[in-house]
Amino acid sequence: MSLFFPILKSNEIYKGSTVVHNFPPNDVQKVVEKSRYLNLIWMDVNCWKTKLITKIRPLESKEVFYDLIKPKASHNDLLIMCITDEPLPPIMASLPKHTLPTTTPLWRSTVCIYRNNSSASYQGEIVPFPENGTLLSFIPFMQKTINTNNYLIFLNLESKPNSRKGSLKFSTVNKPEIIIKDAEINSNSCNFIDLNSLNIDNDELLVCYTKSMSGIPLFLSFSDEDSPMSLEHTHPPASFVIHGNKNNLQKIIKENWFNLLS
Amino acid sequence: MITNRILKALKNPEKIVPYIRNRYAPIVAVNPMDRKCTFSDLFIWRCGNEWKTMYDLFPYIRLLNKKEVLSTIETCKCRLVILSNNGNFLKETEIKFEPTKKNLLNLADYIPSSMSSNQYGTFMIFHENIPRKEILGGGYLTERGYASYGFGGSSTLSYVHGNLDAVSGKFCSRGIEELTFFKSTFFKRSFQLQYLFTPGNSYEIAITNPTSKSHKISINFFNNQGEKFKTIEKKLSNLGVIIVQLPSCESNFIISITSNLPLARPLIFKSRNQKFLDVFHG
Repeated sequence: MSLFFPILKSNEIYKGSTVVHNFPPNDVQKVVEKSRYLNLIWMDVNCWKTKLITKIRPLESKEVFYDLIKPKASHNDLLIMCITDEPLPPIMASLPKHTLPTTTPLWRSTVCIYRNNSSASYQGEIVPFPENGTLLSFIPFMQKTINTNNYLIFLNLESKPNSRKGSLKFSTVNKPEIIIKDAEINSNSCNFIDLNSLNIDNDELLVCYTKSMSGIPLFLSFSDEDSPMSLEHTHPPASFVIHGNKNNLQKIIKENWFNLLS
Repeated sequence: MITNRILKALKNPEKIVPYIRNRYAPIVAVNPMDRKCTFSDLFIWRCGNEWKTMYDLFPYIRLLNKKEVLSTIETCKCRLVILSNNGNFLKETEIKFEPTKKNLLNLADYIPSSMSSNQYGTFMIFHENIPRKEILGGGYLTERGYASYGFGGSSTLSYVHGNLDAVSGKFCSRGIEELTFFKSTFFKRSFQLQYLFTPGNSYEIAITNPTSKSHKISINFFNNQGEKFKTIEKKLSNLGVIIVQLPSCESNFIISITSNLPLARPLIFKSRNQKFLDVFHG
């Protein structure tokens, strides 16, 4: 399948890195134990550029830091990696269709951030989203205690090497018709959004949505006075139901909410 | 039809065994017979000894139904079932909350005061089956939401999402009935954590058992050459949880968990210098 591992863009708040692993998550699907190629991919003008990072041994894990690996010539802020059986060409018109075998659960990397003496991570991967995708996400993660900072990292990856602008809007379940924040986002990008100005009550459930692209919303919370950090993603609304027709459910929920939201 | 399936299987022999294993013991609780059932993950609570566990309860009735339906519904209703680390029943509480807001539960408020400090266990949440049939589309509402953990005096909590459709049950006014569980696997399975444990950090892993039987689990440690250098064996009760402090090592290591659980995917609690940093799924 077409599976990629994002490296979160470092900024003045944190440093990003990702640990990739050359072994599957289980022994149910028999995956050949062998060395594979670890590739870096970034977007350039109308193409994807690639660079071989290293050949990775069976059972080996490799941590790659955003600041150390970012190509100087790159102007885009999304860096992704993939593990392949064969080396990738240096320039591609679209992302490779086959990288790693399909496993249950999916083959994951450890997506990390470091800040001061603390760190947080989630087990993640990214699969290219369709260009006509949309996003509706219910977010419980806002922490309103004194000194706690809240940010959203919105990751989008599409197969074609284009960058489109869009708008990520925030509202609440209680008053969906009122937009409390509107942030500009780009496709094929690691968008970083400051949510500290949001003034909502502790029991309000945040909704974020966009009709122009899909993506992974990651929520980051930390305080300079605490050691714990929180880095977690939401699940799509269809995950509220098991065994049903998830595609149909997702469509119904989105239609309903896009009518309620501005 | 059957001939086509056999031909397809013969063309992809490597997929036959995973298919049979997944059909026999899928990574979801057994399908309940009653449409009024809902599913829940088997979440982990830690309280006392400075641990704090919170849970963000979603108003699914609001999220899944149209606005006009809401006017007929005044409250969301669910039952919180608290179990000990051995899977023994401790307490069940009916919770009502507003359908337009989330409800932040502090698990300490629901755990019997007889539990001494430094305790941990599991909890499940079953909702009254309220969404319309046409929305559920033959499926069931499942609670796989977001728990958060804090330690000591820190005000920042670290969130982790639910992972499994672990148990199904029927909401009744007198309690939860007709539970269904994960099936145990016939052959042992190994879950290989795609996570590199590093020296300097301290790790605890928490493994739950959503099956109806007790199981022995083996935690296997491998060095960066792929050589196994340690195994820890533990017994895990039905609906229970164990939290295992991983030994400190001088170099990086990875672990696998072998058991008859369909998916022994743990939570990992990471600390450094006795300070809690992060919790996440393996």
